Amino acid sequence: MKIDKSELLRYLGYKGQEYGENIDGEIDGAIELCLKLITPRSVIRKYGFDSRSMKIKGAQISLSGEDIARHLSDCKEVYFLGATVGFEVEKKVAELMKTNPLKGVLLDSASICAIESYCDDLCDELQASSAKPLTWRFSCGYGDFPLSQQKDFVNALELPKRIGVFMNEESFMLTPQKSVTAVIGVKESGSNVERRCDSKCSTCKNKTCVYRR
Amino acid sequence: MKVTELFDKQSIVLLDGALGTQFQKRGLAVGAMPEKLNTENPDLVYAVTKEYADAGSDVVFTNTFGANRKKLGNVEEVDRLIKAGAQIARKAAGDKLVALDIGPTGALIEPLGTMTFDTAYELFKEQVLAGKDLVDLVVLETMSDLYELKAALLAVKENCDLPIMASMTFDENGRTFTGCSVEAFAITASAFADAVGINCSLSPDKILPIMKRLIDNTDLPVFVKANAGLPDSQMNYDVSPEEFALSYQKFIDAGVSILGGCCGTTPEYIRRLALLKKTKKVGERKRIYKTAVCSSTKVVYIDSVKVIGERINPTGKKAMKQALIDKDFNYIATQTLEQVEAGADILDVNAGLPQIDETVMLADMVKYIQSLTDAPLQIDCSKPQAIERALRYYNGKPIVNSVNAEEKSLSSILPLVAKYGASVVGLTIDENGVPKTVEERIRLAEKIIERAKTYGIREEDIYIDCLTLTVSAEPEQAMYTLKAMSALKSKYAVKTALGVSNISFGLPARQIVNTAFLTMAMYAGLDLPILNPNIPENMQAVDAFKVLNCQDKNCMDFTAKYADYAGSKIITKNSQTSQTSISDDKDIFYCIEKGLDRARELTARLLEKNSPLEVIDNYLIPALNKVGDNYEKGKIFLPQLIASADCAKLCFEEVKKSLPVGEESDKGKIALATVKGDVHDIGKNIVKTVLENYGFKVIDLGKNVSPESVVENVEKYNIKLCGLSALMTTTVENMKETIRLLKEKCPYCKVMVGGAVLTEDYANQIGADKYCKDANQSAKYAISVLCQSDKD
Repeated sequence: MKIDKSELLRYLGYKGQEYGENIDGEIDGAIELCLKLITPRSVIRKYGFDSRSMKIKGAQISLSGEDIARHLSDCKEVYFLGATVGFEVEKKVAELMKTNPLKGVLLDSASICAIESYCDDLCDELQASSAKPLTWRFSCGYGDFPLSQQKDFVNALELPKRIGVFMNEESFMLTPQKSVTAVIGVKESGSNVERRCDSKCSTCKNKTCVYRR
Repeated sequence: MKVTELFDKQSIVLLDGALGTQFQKRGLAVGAMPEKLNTENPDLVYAVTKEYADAGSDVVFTNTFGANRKKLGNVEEVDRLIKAGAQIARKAAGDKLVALDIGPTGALIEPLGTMTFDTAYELFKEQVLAGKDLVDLVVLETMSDLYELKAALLAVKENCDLPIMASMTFDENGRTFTGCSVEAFAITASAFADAVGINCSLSPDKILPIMKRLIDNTDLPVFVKANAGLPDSQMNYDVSPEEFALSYQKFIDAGVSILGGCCGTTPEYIRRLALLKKTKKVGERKRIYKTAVCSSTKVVYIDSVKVIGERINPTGKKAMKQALIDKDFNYIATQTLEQVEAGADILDVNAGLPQIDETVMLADMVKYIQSLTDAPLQIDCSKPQAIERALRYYNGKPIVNSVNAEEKSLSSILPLVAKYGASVVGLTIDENGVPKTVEERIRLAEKIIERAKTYGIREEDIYIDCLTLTVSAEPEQAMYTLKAMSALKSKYAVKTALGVSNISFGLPARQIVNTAFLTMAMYAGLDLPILNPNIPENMQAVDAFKVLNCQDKNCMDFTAKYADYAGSKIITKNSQTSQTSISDDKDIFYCIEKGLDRARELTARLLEKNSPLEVIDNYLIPALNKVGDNYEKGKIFLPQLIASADCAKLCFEEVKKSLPVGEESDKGKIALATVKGDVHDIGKNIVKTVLENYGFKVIDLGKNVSPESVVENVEKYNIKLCGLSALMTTTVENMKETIRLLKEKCPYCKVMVGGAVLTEDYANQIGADKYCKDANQSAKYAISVLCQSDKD
């Protein structure tokens, strides 16, 4: 797990502006505080998968959307992943937004970096222990993979009980906010499967997003 | 087995093992609800339950963990599945006991989530009513939010007479996912439950140290239901039945009398535990910590002097009075965070104002303050109804301030203290007024102690206040107060509380007398001084006393705090002088742009030559506008914008000081809210910071705000501009509804919107007046809406 300063800056809309030592020091402070406050937790389960019906074996779950179908084409197994960096850091962000908004905003960005980095680490570990190539992680809301499918991840992985991640029934938002669910496909063949999520933006419909790479 | 035997702390009692993992092994689909099997496949549920009864379980749980309306959709289904589950368990149990099993709702209570405490209570109540006549006891388990557990405990206690076992699930650090510590759980839940325990999450070995911490903080029987280790990605658990039973011997030695298994355990695990029953004897245990109060995340042990901050109280405080009347929670937030920063351990909360409904306001304040700080609270009120409501919504174990020796007070307040498991301040006063002697004070204290005990309140939870009287009016009383306090401390296990500052009323240089009295009182046995922690001399006296009394071991805390102490001279940002040759007007632009605190001092200098409004219009606003332009052009980015805004805030504060009393510099009121269903409020908070620093008064309605509540506030404050934020496509619907309702009821109010998924088109579609892509745009729009009309 690492919090990359350039990533953090990207989330803040940084485009190469010059900034003073005071801000630089605050960023370092936010990274340090973030690493202290996070409690990374995850749950990973492996399921059989039928890429034609898009059904998860042993469950009443089928994945919908063309993008996820393309992503998991010819996969016979998939991993479901649920991960979070916990409540503590967002409680601190809420407090800081009242007392010191600059610190609050920086800590919030740092915690986004933390959850992303944590998920990358988990996927790397998973790949290291897998003989077959894995796809990169694909989350609800990417492309046309519906947000409402979040519910299946939360139930299958028992997220509230296992790692303390809760879903709002109406908005499908996760709490703690810095939490992720994703599916990772086990490819039957192909050695150079693109696994990093650097290309996530390419599947996203929001073409004007300020964070788009 | 009898229920009394279950809780006798001597007999080893066996609970059952996992149901869910057993069902999954026998074909239950991943993600499907096991509770539905009660009607869809009752034979399977019967078979598994029976296996546990046969393996030696003295108590079997009903298969009803998640059978609540939130998950099932309607109360009829709740009733049906719970009744069916209870009947199956009863049939399988034979002569064993049956426990109605209730798990968490699966949703989060405010402020972490969007469910209300009352909704949680209702959900649990429905479960209790469905099962109560068919079972022997109720088990609340796998809870990770203390607040939700409290709702469940109240729902059981208030709707049946069954005994309650309550357990939470902890991480290795002894905290739940929501941050509740095992100590806070023990201290809070012990007042409601008949046994407390730990289940799920971890293997037996990892639970053991947490279990010891639980035992240190409760007198109740304790129970454990550990997981069979951790599952791998294919749900294989790594602790065998043999290893499991071996680890459980240590629980028995530590004094745990009630044993079972959670996820991954099978009847074989229970059989192994049953063997222990024959050979092991439950170890002796001793509660170590006896006097404490807590929030869900912080325990304050009253084992040394602990400071109660007195600032959240309108009595004699004009600004706080106004804040309560206006429901200005921002002001309350400042008072809360400042006192905690200054070193208060506990915060007193008082809403006693004739103009407001204390019953509603006190509870609202408790809810708000506990969302801001982890410091435990003292509910300061004498009206039973208001106290009860505040106690109900308090998350943890609070102090009630206060009961006195009058019959009316004793009989109305002590039952509430007992029911909600609070501590209580006992004032040595009765219908005859304040006693004038040491003996009389002691007599009244004893009356309170005796009566409290009849309600089951322990001596350790009573904090006697021997009353501070004004020394200039009644010179001999100060010593009587202290003597009575010493006498009570030597005779009883009670603790003592005392408000300090009254002592010096009517004298000059009051703080000198206050500090001396405070020091004397602590030496006489005062545990809980109630004072203003923002006055340095108060905290200094406490810190020094702790050094002299060996409460601050090796003077560690004192050294850390005062290493850079510069004497009694108070250094503030104002008094720092800097010599600079750059002209003031140029420099203030530079300082605001760079976010340097020196801008404040420069503002003060400008105010020597300019009127306050000139400073705002000719310096501060143009400086902020320049920052805004730079942001828009991409010359600076978000942190710099915020740093500048923060810096401008200091300047505005300086300007405010030189404004005549009563004259406001604010340019207009703006309401901000994150819409219903949405708890992501960082964007809204950034907008708030920037708007405030442009001199607007922001009424922050918070997050997850219903359309009705937005309208209510816009009407109440006569707001001309309202800002709404929503993060996701799913919550933009609620934004649309809010706008619709606003346009219908308050057509005079403009609506600006922002949030990750919004675009200009989208904003137009849902009827917003303006889409603001960032904080800077909202400030610009606010100026155009609220300021232009003045200038036209």
